Amino acid sequence: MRYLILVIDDEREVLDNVIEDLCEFASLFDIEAAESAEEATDIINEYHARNEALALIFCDHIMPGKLGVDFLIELNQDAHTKDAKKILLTGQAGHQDTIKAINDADLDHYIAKPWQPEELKEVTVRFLTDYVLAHDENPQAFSKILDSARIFEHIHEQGDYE
Amino acid sequence: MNARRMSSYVLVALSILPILFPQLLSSFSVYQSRMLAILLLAVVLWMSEIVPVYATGLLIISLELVLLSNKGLSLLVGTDAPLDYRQVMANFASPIVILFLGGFALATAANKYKIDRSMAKVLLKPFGQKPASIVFGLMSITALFSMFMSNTATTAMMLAILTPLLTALPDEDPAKKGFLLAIPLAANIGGMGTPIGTPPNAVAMKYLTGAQAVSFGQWMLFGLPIVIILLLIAWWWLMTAYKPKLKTVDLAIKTVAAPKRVSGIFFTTFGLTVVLWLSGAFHGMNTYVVSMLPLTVFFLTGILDKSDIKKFNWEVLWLIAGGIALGEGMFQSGLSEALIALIPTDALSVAMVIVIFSVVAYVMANLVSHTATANLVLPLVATVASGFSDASALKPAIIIIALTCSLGMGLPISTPPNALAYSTGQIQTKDLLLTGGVVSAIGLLLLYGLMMIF
Repeated sequence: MRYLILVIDDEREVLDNVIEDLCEFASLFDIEAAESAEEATDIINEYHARNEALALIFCDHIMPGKLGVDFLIELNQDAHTKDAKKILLTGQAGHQDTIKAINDADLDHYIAKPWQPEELKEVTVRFLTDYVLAHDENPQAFSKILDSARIFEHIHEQGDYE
Repeated sequence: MNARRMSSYVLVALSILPILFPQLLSSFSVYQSRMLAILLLAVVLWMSEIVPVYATGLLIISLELVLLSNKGLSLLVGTDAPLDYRQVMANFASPIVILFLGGFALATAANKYKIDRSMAKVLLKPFGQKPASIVFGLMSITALFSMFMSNTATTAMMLAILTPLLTALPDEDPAKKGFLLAIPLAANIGGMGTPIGTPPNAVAMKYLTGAQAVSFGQWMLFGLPIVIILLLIAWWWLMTAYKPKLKTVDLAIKTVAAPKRVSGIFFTTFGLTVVLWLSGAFHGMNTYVVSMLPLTVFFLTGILDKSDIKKFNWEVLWLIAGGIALGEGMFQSGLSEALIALIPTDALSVAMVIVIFSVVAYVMANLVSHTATANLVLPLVATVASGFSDASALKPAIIIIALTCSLGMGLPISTPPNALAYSTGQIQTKDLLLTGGVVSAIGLLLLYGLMMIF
C-alpha cells in the first residue's frame, strides 16, 4: 500500500527544498508539491481516485487564495483526509491562527521556518509511523525507513501467531 | 489477472472434479471422492494463498458439514453420511484449540504488562557485554520465549529491543547482520521445544492419541535437546559467518515494572501451569485440561479482560481447526483407508516414508505457512503410517514431520519472523539462506539421526 505526502507552499524554492529533504521517503511514499490549496485539492482527489490516501501534509499558512489553516480545517472535516497527519510549516502563522489550527484542524505539529532538514526528517518519521501503525495492515513493510522499534513493538502487541 | 492467480483458479476448478464426477475414481465411494476434492482444494488454496489461510480452514469445515455430514444438504447426503455434524463443529473447540487458548492467555498477559520485556532484561544481564556472549543470550531468551509465545510476537519484541543497538552499529560491522539474523533463527528453533511453541506441533498432538499420546513434558524431553543443539550450532555458525568487529556491546532495555499484584499472579500461574504440564503422570490432568488454568485464572482475577479476548489470534485457531477437520474427515470418510489401498506400503520402510514426507514438508514450509504445511502433510503421514503393521511407527513419523515444518526458514517468505528481520532492509535473501537455510538443513539431518537412534 502506498500513501501520499503533500507539501504546499506558494514559494517554489521552499517546495523544492522540502521535497529534497524528504527524498529518502520516496521509495515507499508518493511525494507531491502544490503551490496553492486549490492545486493541493486536485492532487488529493487524483490520488483518492486511485485509492491512495493522504498520510502526511506540510502546509504553509499565508498563501494567495485559501489560507493554510483554513485548508487544514477543511481537510479535517473530510472523512477521506481527516486521518492525515497535519503539519504547519510556516513563518507567518500568528497566535490566533495557530490556536485555530490546533483546535479545529487537529494540527499535529508546527515547524517554524527556517527549518532544519534533520528536524523535518525526524518529524516525518514520527508522524508517518503513527499513520501506518493506525492504518496499514502490514506496517512491517515500512520498517526500513520509519521507526522500526515502534513498528516491531506494535507487531509484538498484535502477536500474530506461527 | 496475473498468471499465478489464473493458474490457481484453474487448479481450484480441477480440484472439485471428484465431487462432480465421482465415477471417475472407481476405487473411492461418493463420500470419499468428495473428501478427496476437499483435500485437493485445501492443497491448492493453502499453497497458492489466493484466499487467507484461515479462510481455507473455515471452508474445509463448511464443506465437510454440507457434503459429508448427517445434517448436510439432503440432496447429497443420505442416512449413510460418514460424519456427525456435531463432531465436525467440535473442531473449533478441539483440545488442541484449548491448548492454544491457554498459551494465548500466558502470552497476552505477559505482553499486556510488558512482563516479557522485563524478563528479557533480567535474563540478559548475566551474558555481559561481549558481542558473542550477548548474541548467545539473545538467542537463548528468544528461543525460551518462543516456546511459550508465538514465534512472530517473540521476534517482534526482540527486534524492538535490538533496534537502538542496530542503529548505533556501523554498517560495515558484520555483527549488525549477525544480531539481526540471530533473532528469527532462535525464534524458529525455539518453537520446536513445546507443544504450544508453534502450531504445527499442536497439529501433531492431534494425531498422537491413545497409546501414542505425547504429554507436554514428553514433548519437551526430545524437543528441548533438539532446540539446544540447533541453537548452539546456529550461534557458532553466526559467530563464524558474521564475526563481530566491535569488542563490547551495551544493550539498554527500557522496561516498565508491572504492578506487584499482576506480576505475582502472573508468575504464580505461569509457574503452576508449567509444573502441571510437566507432571501430568502424577495428577492425571492432561496437557489440555491444564491449559484451562491460565485462561481461567487471568480472566477471574482481571489480569485479562474482554478487550484482551479480542486480541487473541482467533484466525490461527481457525487454521488449526480446519487442519484437524481435514484429518478427521479423511479418516472417518474412509478416504485414508482407500488411499492406503493404492499405496504399496509393503514396499516402503518407515524411514523411507519419513524421509519422503519430511523433504516435502521442508520444501513446502519454506514457501508457505508452516501450519498449512502441517495441516496438509500430517494427515497424509498418519494415513500412510496407519498402513504399517507396526503401530508405533506413527509417533516418530508425526513428530519428525511436525518438527520439520519449523525448519522451513531459509527464505524471507518462509516464516513471519524471517519476514520481520528482512523488512528492516539490512539483510538480504542470501543472508537468510546462509543462516536459516544452512541451520535448517543441519536440523533435518539431526532429526534423521535421532530417527536412527530411536
